[in-house]
Amino acid sequence: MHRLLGIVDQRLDVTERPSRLLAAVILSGCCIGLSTIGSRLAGIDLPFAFALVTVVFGAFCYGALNASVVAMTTIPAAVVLNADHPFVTPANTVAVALFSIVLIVFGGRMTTLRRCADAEARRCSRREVFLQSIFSATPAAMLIADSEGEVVAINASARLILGIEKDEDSNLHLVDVIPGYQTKIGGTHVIDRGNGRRQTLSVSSVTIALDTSELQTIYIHDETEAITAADQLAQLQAELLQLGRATALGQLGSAIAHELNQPLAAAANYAKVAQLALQRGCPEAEVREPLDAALRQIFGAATVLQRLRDFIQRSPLQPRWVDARQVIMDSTKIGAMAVRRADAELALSIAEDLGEVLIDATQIQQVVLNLLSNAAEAVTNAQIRRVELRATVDIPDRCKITVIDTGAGIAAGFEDDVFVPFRTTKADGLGVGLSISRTIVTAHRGTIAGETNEGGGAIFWFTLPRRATPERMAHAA
Amino acid sequence: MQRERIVYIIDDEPEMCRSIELLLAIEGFQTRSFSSAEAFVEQIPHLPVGIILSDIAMREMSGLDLLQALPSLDRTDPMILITGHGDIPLAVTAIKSGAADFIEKPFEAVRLLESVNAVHDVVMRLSTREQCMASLSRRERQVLKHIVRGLTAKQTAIELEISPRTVETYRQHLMEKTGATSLSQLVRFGIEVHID
Repeated sequence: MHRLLGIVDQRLDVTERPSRLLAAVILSGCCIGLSTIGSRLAGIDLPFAFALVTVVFGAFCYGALNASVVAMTTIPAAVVLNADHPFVTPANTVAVALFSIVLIVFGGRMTTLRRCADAEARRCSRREVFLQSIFSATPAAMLIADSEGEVVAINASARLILGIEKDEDSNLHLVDVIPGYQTKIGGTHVIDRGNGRRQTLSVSSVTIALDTSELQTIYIHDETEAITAADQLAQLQAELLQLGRATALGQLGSAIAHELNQPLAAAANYAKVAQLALQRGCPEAEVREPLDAALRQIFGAATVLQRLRDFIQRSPLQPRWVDARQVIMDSTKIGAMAVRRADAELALSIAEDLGEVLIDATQIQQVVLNLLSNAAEAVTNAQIRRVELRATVDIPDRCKITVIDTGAGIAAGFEDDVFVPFRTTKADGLGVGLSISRTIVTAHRGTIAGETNEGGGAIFWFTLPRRATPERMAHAA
Repeated sequence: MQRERIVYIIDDEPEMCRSIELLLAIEGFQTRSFSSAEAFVEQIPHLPVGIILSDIAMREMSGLDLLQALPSLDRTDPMILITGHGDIPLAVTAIKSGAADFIEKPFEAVRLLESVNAVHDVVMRLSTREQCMASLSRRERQVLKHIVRGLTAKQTAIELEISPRTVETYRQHLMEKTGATSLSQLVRFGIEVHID
């Protein structure tokens, strides 16, 4: 900053008055001429008066050097030209010379001071211009308010962002500029501009203490566009994840059909029983029992459908602290369909003390489904068909979910590619399942990994941030 | 003797078992459910003959495995298999392996009842015939055999070295015992019991 100001000031100091000596010579000439003309023509006989006047003029207008030259020419000239004058005595001459020296010193000092003051004034005005140019031309929106909150200056960028017309600034207050601002101006303000347009401003301020008051410089950053862009990105991501879920369900088609057909077929049987019982005039209880059973089956099928519907809904990442055991248990419901379809055994071991995890339930369900359906597919043609899901507390603030299968393991040479999008060893796979899972787990600040198990089969695990169940909930439970 | 109408239901879906149980119970069948083919095989020595109604797709031992294992268990129980939708090759295999019938999922209750009843009728007819056969004397069987081969009473008499009148008498007895009202019905009975 000092260097910058140095440059600004340096550019100012170049103007020196070049013709001081010339002025001295001219002054001296004039003085001698005037005194000669005065004494010869007009009879005005003041041998040293002109010299002293000229010295004073030179000293106060042009400085010490000029005045010295003038004194050294005009005083000897006065002595020489008026040698016969009674006033011109050696004593008087010395007195005049000494008086001149005093004048030269005093006048020179005054001139220097004045010149310094001039330079200072110029420096200030140049700095002001410089400051003004920065303030008005910067794309950063700035405004300056006094301690009362009255806006004293506002730049073009700030006008643009805040939508303030040029002539409005006469009586602008911070409250008009940033509605809703109370005591603390810093932070993020969301302003409703009408027509459904919302503006998000990030505001910061610097207070400068002056002698008697203080000024606040307020910087405003319009984050509306950045937030809109971030929102759009989040929306795109949510759509991608939704598409991933739809794809995953599509691959589960036959398993889902089985899950729905089973209860519906049972319901149809029960209904037929009720119908036959009615036809044969059986007691009411014999009709009611199969009807109740049929209803239970139909509601069971409806529950499956509802679960699938919920799963397919769009869900932007909304992590919340939820009971880990419950949410993991729910997450396995759809994946279990795939495992059942593969005629495989599903072993769940979910620790009791999992506490809470910070997750978006739908997305974690997506990861669990992905891992379980991969495992189910892996064991379909295996001798032993077993899929195991374990949920444990890994380290105190991390929960680990592991899926182990008895399939063929990860194909040799494919270990590094399992999470790469569009890489797959499956004939009908798209190769996005694990890639999406990794995106989700990473967004939850977890990690996901997979490897071939030592005893055969594959083992995949992912972690989630966890915390112990808060006291209040523990008491309730 | 009226044979008991027993149906063994084997399915790993408890609700399917239960609903089929109720359905057959209302039709007057006695039922017993098993959640797996293994459980059924374990119990089979203690079970009377009945109709086996089994799902094909099960975790360990499939319905088809059970069907193929029956002879080695000294059982001839007729078996109805329930196959997945559209699995024709499996259905063909089932029939070739000796299944009495197969039902394709999803099935209507009526279809199941028809199938079980039809299989039951066949069993009943077979057992009636068997009882009937058991009641025939050695001579009567010989006569029936010759009738089925298309021989006349006189030719039969010569073959068996008895008088044609005696053959006529045996034929009369045969008609009475089998309940046939004509000679052709008697021939049909003979063919059905594989007399030759």
